[in-house]
Amino acid sequence: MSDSPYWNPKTETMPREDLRRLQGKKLRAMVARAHAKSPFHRRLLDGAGVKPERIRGLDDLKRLPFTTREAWMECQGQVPMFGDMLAQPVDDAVRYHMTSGTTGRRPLRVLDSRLDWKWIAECWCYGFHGFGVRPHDRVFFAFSYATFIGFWGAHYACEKMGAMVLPSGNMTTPNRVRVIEEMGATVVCATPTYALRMAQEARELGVDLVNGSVQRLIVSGEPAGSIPATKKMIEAQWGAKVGDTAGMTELGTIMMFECAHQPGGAHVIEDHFVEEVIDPATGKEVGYGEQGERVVTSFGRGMIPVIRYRTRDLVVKVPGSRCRCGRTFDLYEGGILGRVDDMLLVRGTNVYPRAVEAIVREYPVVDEFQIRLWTEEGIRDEIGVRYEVRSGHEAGAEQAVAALQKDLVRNHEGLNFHVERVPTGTLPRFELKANRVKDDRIVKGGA
Amino acid sequence: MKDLAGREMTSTEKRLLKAFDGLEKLLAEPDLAPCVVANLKEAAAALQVAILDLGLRAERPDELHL
Repeated sequence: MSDSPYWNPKTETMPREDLRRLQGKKLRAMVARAHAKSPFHRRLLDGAGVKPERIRGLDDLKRLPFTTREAWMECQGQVPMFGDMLAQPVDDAVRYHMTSGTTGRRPLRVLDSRLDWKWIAECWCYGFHGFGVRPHDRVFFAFSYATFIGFWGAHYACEKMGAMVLPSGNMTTPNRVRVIEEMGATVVCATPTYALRMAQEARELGVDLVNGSVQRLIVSGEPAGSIPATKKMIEAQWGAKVGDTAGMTELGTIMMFECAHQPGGAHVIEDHFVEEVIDPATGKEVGYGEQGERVVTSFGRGMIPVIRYRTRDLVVKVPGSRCRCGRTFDLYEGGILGRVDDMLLVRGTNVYPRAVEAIVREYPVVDEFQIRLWTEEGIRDEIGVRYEVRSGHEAGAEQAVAALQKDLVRNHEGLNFHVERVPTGTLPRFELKANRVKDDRIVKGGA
Repeated sequence: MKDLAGREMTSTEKRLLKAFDGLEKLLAEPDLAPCVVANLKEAAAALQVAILDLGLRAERPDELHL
C-alpha cells in the first residue's frame, strides 16, 4: 500500500453513493455535537427549527442554516475573544491563530486542540501525497510561522509523512534561495506570488533553479495557483511542477488539492468536507459546471464546528471523473476563481483582479504588476496596470506591453486600461497573500 | 460490524478500533505520570484521525480532551 498514489485509497476512490452515506453519518454526528456543545450553533439550529436527531443523511444538509463570517465576527465581538462558537473548553486548545486580515476587516481568532492539529496535518497529507511528495523528499517552507495559519499544517503533514522539513521562518529572500540550493530541496511551498519573487531573486544571485533540485512547488494562499498563465510562468522559472491547494483559517487546513495529474483543477477532500456551490444572490444550489459561491461543512475540527459556512469564494464544480487519477472526489475546475466581493465596478464594467492577472501573466516581460484605480476630474473612474519589466526582457518590451493593453481592453468590454511602466523595485512584493489592487477612487464602485 | 459507508469492516479496521479503545482505557488509569498521559493523548489523537479517515466512527472522544 505504501506506493499507492492515494493517501487514503479507501475513501479517495469510493463510489459516490458510499461516499454520500459516509458524509451523511458524519454530518449527523457533527450536528448533534455542535448543538450540544456550541451555544453559537445551538442558537442557529434552534432558530431554524432544526432538531439534530432528525438529521438522517446528506439530503438533510439543506435544512441547516448558513453560517456567515459576519455572524462569526459578531459572536467574537459579543463574547471576547473567541465567541461562543467553541465546542470544547479553551483548556483543550494547544494553539491560537487568526486570519491574515488582507481584506482589512477585524481578524477572526481561532483555537485548535491536539486532535484538531493532527487532523489539520492529515488534510494536508492528502494534498502532498496526492501531488507526489514522498518520505525521501526535502520540503522547503517559504513561510514566516506566525499567527497566520498558512503552511503550519503542511509542515506537520511533512513530518507525519516522514519527509524532511526545511523551515525558513524570518529568513530574507536571498537566504531562502541559498538554503533551497544548499540543502537540495526537492519541494518548495510558497504563495504563487512569492514563488515568482524567489525565482527573481535566484536570477539576481546567479542560482540556476531550472536545473536545480526542486521538482515540485506546492502553492497556496492565492487564486493564482490555478491561473494557467501564472502557473506556466512559475513552472518555467523553477523547472518544476506546480500543484495548487486552497484552505482557509476558518477550516484550519486545506479542503482541496491538485493531484499529480494536474487536471486544471483541485479535488475536494470529500471524506472530511462537504462542499456545496450556490448562487450567492439566491442561496440556491447550482449544478456541475456552473459558477457559484463555495459553502463548506467540515467534519474534522473539534474546537470550532463549521456548518454550511459561506466562504465568498467563487468556484465551478465538476465531477472527479474529469481527472484520470481515479479519485471519485469532485473537482473545482480552475481552483478558486476569485471572491464574490472581489469584483471592481469601473464605469459599469465588471473587473475581476484574477482575470486581469490571467491576462498580464501571459506576458513574460512583466515581472510584477499592480492594478490601480483612481478618480479623474472628480467624477470619472479610471483603471490602470502599473508594471515592472523583467530583467533581460528590455528588448521588445514596448511592443509586448502595447499588446497587453489591447488584450486588457478587449477582455473588458472596451474599458480603457492605462498601462504604465514603473522602475524595478517600485511595486510591493508579498510573502503571504498578495494584494495587487490599489483603489484610490473617491467613491469605490466595487469592493 | 459496518463502517460509516455501510461496508463490512476489515479485520485491520476492527483491530484499529480495539487499539484506540485500549488507549482510552489506559488513559483512565489513576496516577499516570505526566509523560505517560501526554504521550498516550498524542497516540490516541493520531489513532482517532485514522479512524476518521477510514470512516469507522463519527463520534469524537470529547471526554479524553484530545
